[in-house]
Amino acid sequence: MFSFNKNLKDDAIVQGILAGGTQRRLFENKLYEKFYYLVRDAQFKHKISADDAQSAYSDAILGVIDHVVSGRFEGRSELKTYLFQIFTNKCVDIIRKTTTNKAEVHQNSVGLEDALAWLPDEAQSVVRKLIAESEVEQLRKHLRQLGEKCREMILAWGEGYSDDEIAQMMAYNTAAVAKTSRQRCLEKLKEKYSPPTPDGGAFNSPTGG
Amino acid sequence: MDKIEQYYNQTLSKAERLAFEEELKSNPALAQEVAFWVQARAAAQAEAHARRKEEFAMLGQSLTKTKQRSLYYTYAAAASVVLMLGLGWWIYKSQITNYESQINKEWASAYIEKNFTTLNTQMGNSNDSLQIGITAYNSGDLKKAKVAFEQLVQRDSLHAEAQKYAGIVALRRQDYDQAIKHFHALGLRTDLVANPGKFYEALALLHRDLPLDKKKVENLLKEIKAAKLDGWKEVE
Repeated sequence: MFSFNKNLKDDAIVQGILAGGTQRRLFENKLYEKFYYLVRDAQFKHKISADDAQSAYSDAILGVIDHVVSGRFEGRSELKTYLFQIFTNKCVDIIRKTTTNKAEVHQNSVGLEDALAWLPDEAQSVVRKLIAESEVEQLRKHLRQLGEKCREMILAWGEGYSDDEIAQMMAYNTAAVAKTSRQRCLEKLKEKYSPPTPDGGAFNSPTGG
Repeated sequence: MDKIEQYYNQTLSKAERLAFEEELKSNPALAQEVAFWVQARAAAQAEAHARRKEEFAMLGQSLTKTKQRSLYYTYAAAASVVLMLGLGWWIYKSQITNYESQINKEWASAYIEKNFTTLNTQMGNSNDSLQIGITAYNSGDLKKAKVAFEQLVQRDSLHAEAQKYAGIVALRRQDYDQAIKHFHALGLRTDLVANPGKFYEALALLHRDLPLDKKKVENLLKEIKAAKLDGWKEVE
């Protein structure tokens, strides 16, 4: 078995996260701990507060985890280099936010953009007219009002766990059962939420006719 | 919804995929469905991230704490090492100085016993105050001797013999402050052929044994040795 020492190799961490299931969280924490010293470094280097540095670090770690899970991290660079780059960008974002004091330009989150990018251009623009980040905020609120089990399930799905893993984690018999339950939860969420009409919504008034 | 997930999970065949994308353009209901799905997933992601971030923040706090704690341990260890070294040095040092001062005090007592029990009587006028003092001293009347010598010193502050005897009397009376005062005054004089002032002062200091006296004794003995003042042979 693996030993939980501090010097877990990068490979072991990546494999552990990819292996998924209940172990994934453990390895995520290991990843967080392994490079935690970067927080202190960044505090000095970028002259940002400890809280900001820690927040940026958490964001960066979550980004790396997403990339590992989605397969975007291909292991071509070292985990540390990869993390460091994302972390530095997050720190720079914080500096920009505090120094320019400007309201953030309203932007779709990375997850949303990723999902859109999957679609071919024409279909993408059709869907793009129907979405807005503010609605994602609405959905998050509704999500919090869902039942415990539903919420857990959708959150796990959001973290990129497969239905198989969700079935394991939440003691469902099969992945298919977990999937049906999850989709039902999504339907519940959909009922709570009323999408703005495509041509009447304030958020997403189409530019053309 | 299944179809959308299949599309995003890349489990559709190429034909199915193209058909899906084509339908998306013309079917507002499907587009609406996709828009919801995409946003719901983004919301789930954001929510999951927010929760995970909180967990990480806790983890980070505990990491900082343990780090700080281990830092405190390091400081404590370093401090105790320094303390032990200091203590060890102090004990060692005080043992040595105790040993030295013990030897020297005994040695001083022995010297005083040997040399100051009786003073040399001089031939001459027995009414001379000096002579009176010496006689009184030799007969054990230290009080009378003290009065005699001190009067003499008061009358003639340059009377080296009187000053010396006054010091010796004070030493015998264990009035070390007074002895040191006399010997010190004597030791400062440079006009004498023989001046045991500094050496006697060292003897008196050894007896008084105040915290700073050791240092003074050391300095005096060094001076005596270096300049070969009276008593340097004893010091050697």
